[in-house]
Amino acid sequence: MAISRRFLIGRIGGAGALGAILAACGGEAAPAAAPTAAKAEPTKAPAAPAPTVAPQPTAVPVAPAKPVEVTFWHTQTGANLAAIDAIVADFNKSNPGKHTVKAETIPGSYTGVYQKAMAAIQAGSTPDVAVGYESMAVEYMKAKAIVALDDYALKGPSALSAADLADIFPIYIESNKYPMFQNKMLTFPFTKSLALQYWNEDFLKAAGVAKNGQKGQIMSFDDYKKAVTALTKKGADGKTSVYGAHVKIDTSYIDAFIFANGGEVLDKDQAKVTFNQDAGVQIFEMWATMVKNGEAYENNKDSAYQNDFGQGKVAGFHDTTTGRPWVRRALTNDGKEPERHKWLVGMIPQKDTAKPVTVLFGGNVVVFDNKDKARPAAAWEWVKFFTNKDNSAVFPIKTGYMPMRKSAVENPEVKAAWEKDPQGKQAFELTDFTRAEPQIPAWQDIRTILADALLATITGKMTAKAALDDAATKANKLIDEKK
Amino acid sequence: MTAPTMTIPGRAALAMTAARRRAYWRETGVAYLYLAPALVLLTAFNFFPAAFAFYISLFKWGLVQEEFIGLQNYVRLVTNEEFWQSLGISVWYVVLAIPVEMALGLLIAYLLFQPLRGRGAYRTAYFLPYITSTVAAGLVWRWLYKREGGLLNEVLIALGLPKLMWLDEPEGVFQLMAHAADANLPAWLAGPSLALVSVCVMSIWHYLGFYVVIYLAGLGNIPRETYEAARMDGAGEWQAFRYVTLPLLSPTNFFLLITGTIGALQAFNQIYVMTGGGPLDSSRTVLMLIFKTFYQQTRVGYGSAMAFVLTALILLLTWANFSLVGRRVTYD
Repeated sequence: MAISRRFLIGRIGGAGALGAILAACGGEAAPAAAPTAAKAEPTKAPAAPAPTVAPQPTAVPVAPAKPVEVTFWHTQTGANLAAIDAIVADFNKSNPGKHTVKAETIPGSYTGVYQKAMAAIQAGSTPDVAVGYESMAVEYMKAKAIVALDDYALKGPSALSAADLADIFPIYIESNKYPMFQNKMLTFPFTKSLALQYWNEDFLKAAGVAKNGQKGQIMSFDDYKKAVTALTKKGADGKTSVYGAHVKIDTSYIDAFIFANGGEVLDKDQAKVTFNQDAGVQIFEMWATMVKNGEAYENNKDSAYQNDFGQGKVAGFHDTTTGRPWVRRALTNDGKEPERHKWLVGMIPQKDTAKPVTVLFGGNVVVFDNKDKARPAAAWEWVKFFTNKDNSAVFPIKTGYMPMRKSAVENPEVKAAWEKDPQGKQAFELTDFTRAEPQIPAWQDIRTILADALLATITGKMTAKAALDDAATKANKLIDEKK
Repeated sequence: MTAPTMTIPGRAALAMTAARRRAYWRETGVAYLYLAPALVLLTAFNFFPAAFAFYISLFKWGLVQEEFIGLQNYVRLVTNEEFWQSLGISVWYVVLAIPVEMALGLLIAYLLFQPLRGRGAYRTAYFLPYITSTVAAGLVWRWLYKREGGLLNEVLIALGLPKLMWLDEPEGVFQLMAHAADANLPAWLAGPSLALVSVCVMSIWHYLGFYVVIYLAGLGNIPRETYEAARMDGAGEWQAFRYVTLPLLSPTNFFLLITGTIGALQAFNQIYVMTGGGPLDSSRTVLMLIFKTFYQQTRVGYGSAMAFVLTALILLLTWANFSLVGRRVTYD
């Protein structure tokens, strides 16, 4: 093959320029499938710091004078998509304003939506409503790309009624208020779930473990450690055949356990992380010791631990309440067999069992600030419809997410669903004990840093204290850089 | 014999010059016309975005443009440990992938160049991975590498060997070997993580077909007479390969070395799909870091600066390749 110098130089020049552009644009287009399942995200800061961004002018809600087609970007597929589409069809049929919704699944999870929204903001062609995590909402707001929902949800012609507000669990409203933006409500709950503990009920009984994490039977950390030891089974060769626990490498659960251990992950000013204090170190040490003793293990890839639970290889694990359908499939060989063992969901272990706490996480929606002010108003109509008493009860039972209203318990469809899914009811009953995670802009990256610190600890590469201190240094630097 | 002296009247000379000038411009105009589509596309999709990315790199830029900060993004980059760590991982990726791809590519091409039965089918088989989507292939390889129930670990178990963590192993491969011998190496000798090596193996499998095809073309371009002359001089198979094939393949080798290195430094899809840069950032190449800076941290200005530094490093490496290897290339 004759290859001339000129050809080579041309090829290299092209590749160099392409390199700059690919790199500058973030490389090749991100593949549709992320390597890990979508992670739960931070939701709420523990305290309101001094505002860092100038107050936004209060938008005046405008009732849409003409029919508006509201574009809605989400990530749901399969059965969840069918559930959304059914609500969209209802809205398009029944909405008195005659505006309609055009829902679109964006590939690539919430990150995919964010990437597309980034480009849409540059191009001035944002959707009206999009799903997103809190860190994304903060970036959108910094770019003045979204509206605060206070002006639509809490006042104006289509505001939520007093009865609605009393019906919605307070955490679902509070966790969508952002201290760094004068506590304005930038997001509204969409697909929420809780961080809870799953237990093999048969194993608990066989091992004589009395408490199971449900109301009135919440475990202390000592109870938990004893339970994990009692539930672990080892063969004559010393190898573990049944693990007592699984360690999930995910910051939402690290946060949940630190909160449950009486700690915080951020200081009151949201200026420094505090996860490397005693509460955090104790949690990391607890998990590292369990792994070292062969009582716990880590196998997060593709949620393999859920299958292990179904196979009776692990007695308990902490996970999102949304995992229930997958656990059930693992237990029934994809619905072909009856459940192999009884199971339940309960609260994660607590330092103060009288005041339990866990994390509420999951996706929210934002409403983009369209130049045509009728559009955000129409968009809010859709959000309000989607989260009304009926839809907010029925959508979760079709998808595994958590109902955001107390009245869901009275809904006949929910009642019927909970007959087959008692774990859904168990989880719902723990909603009052939830709180949110931080929502500062740097938190998305801090999540990765903190998860890596846990991995380094349980694999014995670093001690708990060293790993957390190292993570804290990196996290604090990021917080400073993202101010 | 002397050449006849020609006297051209001044006006006629001028007319000829004008005609030549017109012809020149006509010819040049046609050339530019041919070039125009490519130039327009390159400008729209390469040069302008690159220039704009440089502009962005001079700003603090999140979702939208913020303040002008000059070269601060570049200054910060110099002291960013993550960047240098990622660059080291990128270099490992190149060092692991390119020599193996070239050596295997040449070996297979040389074998396929022989008069084998079913040669076409073999050539197709080797090329198939290259036309497979890296995302799809990456997902399949991720399954092969699964810790529990993955094909590779099942094979290891069948052979009575311990399972490996593959894509979940942040430990360096030399360190793992040392551990197997109950030894411990200092961190700087630990080598690339098993996760990165595992991704490299997939990349080698994926790109091998391309190397084979280019080498086959290179082999086909070597004149038969050269081999005949060598044989008449008493050269055996190895000598013909060493003294005829290899030197005459030098432009092909050089082409593959340069483009392969550039391509490997820009590898993204398979790393994103298989490890996401983990575990513990042990497979986070520079491009992965740029992606993360863009889409997770929303630091578009800083990410652009990284992209430009990466481009500069690629150009530097290419220049070094030209200087060190290019002069040994035989084009004729």
